[in-house]
Amino acid sequence: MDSGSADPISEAHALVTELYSPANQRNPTRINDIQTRLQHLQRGDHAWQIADSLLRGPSAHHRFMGALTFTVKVNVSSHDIDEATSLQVLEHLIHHFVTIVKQGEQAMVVRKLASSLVTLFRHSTCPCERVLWQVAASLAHGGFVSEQQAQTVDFSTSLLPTLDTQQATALLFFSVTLAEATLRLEDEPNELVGSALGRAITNTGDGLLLVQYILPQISEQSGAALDKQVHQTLGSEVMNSWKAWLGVASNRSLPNGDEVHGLAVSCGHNIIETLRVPVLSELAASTLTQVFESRRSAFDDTSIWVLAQVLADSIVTTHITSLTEGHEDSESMTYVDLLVAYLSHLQLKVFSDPMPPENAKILNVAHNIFKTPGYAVIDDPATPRVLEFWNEIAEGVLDELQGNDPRWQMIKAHLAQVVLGLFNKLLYPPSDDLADWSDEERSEFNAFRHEACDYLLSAYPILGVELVSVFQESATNHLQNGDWRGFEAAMFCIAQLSEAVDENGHADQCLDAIFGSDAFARLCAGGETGIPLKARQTLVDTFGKYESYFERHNSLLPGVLNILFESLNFESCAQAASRSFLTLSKSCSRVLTSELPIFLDQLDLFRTKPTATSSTMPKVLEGIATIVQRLPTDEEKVQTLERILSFFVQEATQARQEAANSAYDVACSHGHLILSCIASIGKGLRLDADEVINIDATATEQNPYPPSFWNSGPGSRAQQFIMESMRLLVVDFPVDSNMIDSACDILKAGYTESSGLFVFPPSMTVDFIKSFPLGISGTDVIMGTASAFLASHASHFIQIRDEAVALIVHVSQLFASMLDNSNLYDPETANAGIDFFARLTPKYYTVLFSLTEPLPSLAPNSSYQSTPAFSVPLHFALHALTRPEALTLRSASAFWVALIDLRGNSAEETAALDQVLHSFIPRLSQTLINQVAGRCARSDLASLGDVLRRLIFKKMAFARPSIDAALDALDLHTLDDTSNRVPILSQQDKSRFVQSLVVARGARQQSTEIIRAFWLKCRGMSYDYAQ
Amino acid sequence: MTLCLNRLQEERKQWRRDHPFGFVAKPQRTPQATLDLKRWECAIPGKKDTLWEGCVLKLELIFPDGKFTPPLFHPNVYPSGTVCLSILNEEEAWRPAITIKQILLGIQDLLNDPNPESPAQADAYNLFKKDRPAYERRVRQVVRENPPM
Repeated sequence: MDSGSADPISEAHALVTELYSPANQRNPTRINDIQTRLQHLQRGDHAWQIADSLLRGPSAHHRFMGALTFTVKVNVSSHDIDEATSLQVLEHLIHHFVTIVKQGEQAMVVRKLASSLVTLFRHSTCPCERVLWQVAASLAHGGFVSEQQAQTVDFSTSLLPTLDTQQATALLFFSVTLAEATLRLEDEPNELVGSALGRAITNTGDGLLLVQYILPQISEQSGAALDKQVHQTLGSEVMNSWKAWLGVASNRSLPNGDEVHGLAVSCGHNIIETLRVPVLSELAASTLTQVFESRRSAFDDTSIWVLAQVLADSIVTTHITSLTEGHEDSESMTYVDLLVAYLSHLQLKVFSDPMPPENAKILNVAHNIFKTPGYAVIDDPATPRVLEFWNEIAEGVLDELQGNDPRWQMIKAHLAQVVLGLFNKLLYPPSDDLADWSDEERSEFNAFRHEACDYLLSAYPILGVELVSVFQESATNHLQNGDWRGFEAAMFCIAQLSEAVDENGHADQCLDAIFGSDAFARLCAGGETGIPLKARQTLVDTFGKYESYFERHNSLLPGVLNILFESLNFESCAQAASRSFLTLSKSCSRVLTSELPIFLDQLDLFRTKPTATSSTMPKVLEGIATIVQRLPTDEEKVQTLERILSFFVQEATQARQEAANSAYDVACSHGHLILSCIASIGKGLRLDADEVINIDATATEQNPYPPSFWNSGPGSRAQQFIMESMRLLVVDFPVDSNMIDSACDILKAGYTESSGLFVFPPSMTVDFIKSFPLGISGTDVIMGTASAFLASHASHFIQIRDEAVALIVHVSQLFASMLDNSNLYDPETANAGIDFFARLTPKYYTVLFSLTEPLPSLAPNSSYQSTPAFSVPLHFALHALTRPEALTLRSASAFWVALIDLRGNSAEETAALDQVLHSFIPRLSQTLINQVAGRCARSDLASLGDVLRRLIFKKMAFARPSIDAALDALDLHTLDDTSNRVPILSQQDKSRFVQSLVVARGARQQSTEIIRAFWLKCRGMSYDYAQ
Repeated sequence: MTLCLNRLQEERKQWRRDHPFGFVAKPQRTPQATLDLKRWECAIPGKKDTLWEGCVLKLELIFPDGKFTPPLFHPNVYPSGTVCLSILNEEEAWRPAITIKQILLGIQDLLNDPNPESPAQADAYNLFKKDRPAYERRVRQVVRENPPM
């Protein structure tokens, strides 16, 4: 094994020396070579001797490597170590452990050797159990002591008192390592580590006894005999040891579980006491906080009582108080965390009646945390932490307490006190302070403000409208005094509370006091120019959140809308202002009609501003259109609309000019803005939902485009403006998917109306759809519009037969070109086109199947020259079922489902439909069977299975022979162990598959499972998730 | 699926103690102002250094389904707003132990890393496949329309 070395032990020593030699530290290649060689030796036949020798080596590095060699050798020899070897190695390890501790070895080596001991202990052949006891006895004795001998001396009363500080520290290192290894064992398979785990947990009591013994020692010796460093090391190890053994103590198979648990809790009492020891206090606070979060059962009533004493009056209290006075570093947060952990542990129990004085003091400390100087999160991490607790309380009160509970009033007073304490923390920083903040800090501070408002919403059901009045008073005072920061913070809180008070009107009086004040009237009049942007932004946001209030107080609206229009000119406010303008226009449209002339003037000013973008301007226009819709007569409406729309014709002409000058991006973005504005006007003009026409109504003779005010009367000019804008931006204009979206929105705006500005001649939709070439981005939106158009005329489809035919022929021609020339295939057109047919089939099937002539204008070499036009979409949908694109395959499946489900209005119609379908069933069956026999993707099984299920259930007589034939034709093979081809499916498998589907009688889940099992069988079981 | 309210209560506490920066997750309130732990209002920030940076998207989590409100322009979001993500799918990788934090982080990852194998809406999927610059423009528009709170 140790090839090339006559003396592997000397070689190992030399390698370790070289490994740590300063000369090699900048030579990674050499370091690598040394490590490779060392690892080879550590695994080799002489590894035990090398480990022994290195542990007696001259430097800590050698001895560290010695310990490591033991670990490596134990790990690589897992099958070679029998019980005798195990005992022998254990003796060596303990001997070394005792020796190096006696020699005052460095902690790094002691820990490494402790870890080697644990590695051996967890080996399945290691027979010992109470290894902690054994190591303690060996340390006390000064040499190896067997487990049996060790147990003749009592662990806690006789052994531990004999250990000196070094020995106790070393024993703690070993204890922590053993406990942590035991916790890891719990996560491993029981069959592999069951015996080691069983032995390991027998040490739990000893581990905790060690903690219990050491804790008073270090507490009593504080500041006296022990060096600070040693003190902290011992403290840290003892607390880690407690945490780790606590975890082990929760193991269900622990013998004497109750007794051990009691011991663990009692150790906790001692740790709480160490909070009073300055050198250990922070460590103890951090440990206790972690244990509160992970092992709540570690505390009993006594723990809580003792902790309450400490938190109420000790150095812990002093630390937190100093923090709130701005005198402490952030490390004092550890104590705040403990305070919050304590309060969160008790939850509502902290408000017991009568309340112990300690808890009253603790709650007072918690309230004072809000007085910590600086901005929350940024300079003051304590406020957000303590707010978490108050949020939990506010949320818990409603669920757990009745209104007549004596604690209700007490908790209510505390929650109110939090509100008052919190207010200053919500003040937004002035721009000077903000300039120093990073984007992340700004976001964090904003997130805190929203957390705080989350608290307000939780507290509202308990505090009631008094909560709003607190902020109202603050807002009114600050507004009066021109203190915009205070005003902003108060309005911010009021805005967030709208969720609780806007609709029910509970806070109307408070809102009246703000919005009815003289100071607010001055603000509305535009006289107040000093309002900072942040306050303006919050104010305009608040308006939008109180739509119900302003609906009830509509006399305030003109002023409010004036502020909103003014705010549209500021970049940081424009979004919120346009949003609020739209909200208020919608909810108060009836009362705003008289304001329209002013709004139009304001609009004229706004649309020239840089803040008039595609995010803001459409909202403003939708709002104005909503108000226009409320004008009593069409004549009045048209005046306003003409004024707005004529502007867009000019703009469209300008965009066209930009395109002509090759400024395509500018032209498209300009065009998009125009079209989205017009579409928004359409949206705003839409009638109320309850007045929408019923597209399924059966009015056979309805004219799709009856003469009206808007198409042949005084409104026609306005309609012409829209059509002209569309024409300018669609015909010979660069194709842009955003513009297509907005243009389609314009067309769709009138589909749910019977007459109006946006009800265009049906030919307009058809011409628009036909104007786009095959393969452009946005085809799905265009085809969706075609579907919406047909759906809107479904009740009188005969009246738009020519338009329907034109659309069907157009899409079928696209299909024929893609079938004829695979290079032209475009998945988007395929999916969108099939989806169009799937949607039209149920209503327009008579139009579709009446197209028995071949398609006009096909390429001369087209394979569909003599095919009836109606069957081209069916051929295409059949082809689409074999495509790899999920969306295409999904819509093709939906199309076939629609066709299979289709029933005529008469027996003759149904027979004719069946005839068409039957001619496709053989190819459909073959395609479906091939796909579900493992060819399609797993995710496509649901949609393909849906077609197969219906085919079998609804068309059994015609489909069965085709399905049987398709199954017979399946020729799937695999290779056996001797590489011979063997069929995957037997005849029996095939017939059982069909038979099971027949028996399922169209039940969705059952059929899906059968089809999935069949797919898995064909594809191979390695594709089964369950394997 | 059995909804364990205790677990959701614990989720709420865990979230309060530790949640990824910029994310929001809070149970909705019933008309009686108590919390409905089965329905959560969430907000997911776009990841830094991606196209989605700078936006915060609202999502409704009705265990285990996530639904963007309003529906989001994204290849793996259905027109209804429902997110198509394996860890949200009971037939795929969803496990009761999956936390809200994992779900929201998973969705955040999905934003900039769509799964073309599971298209859920034609609009975004086609643009993503066919015209990446146009797709990115649309995403930037979404980002602009969904600024942080």
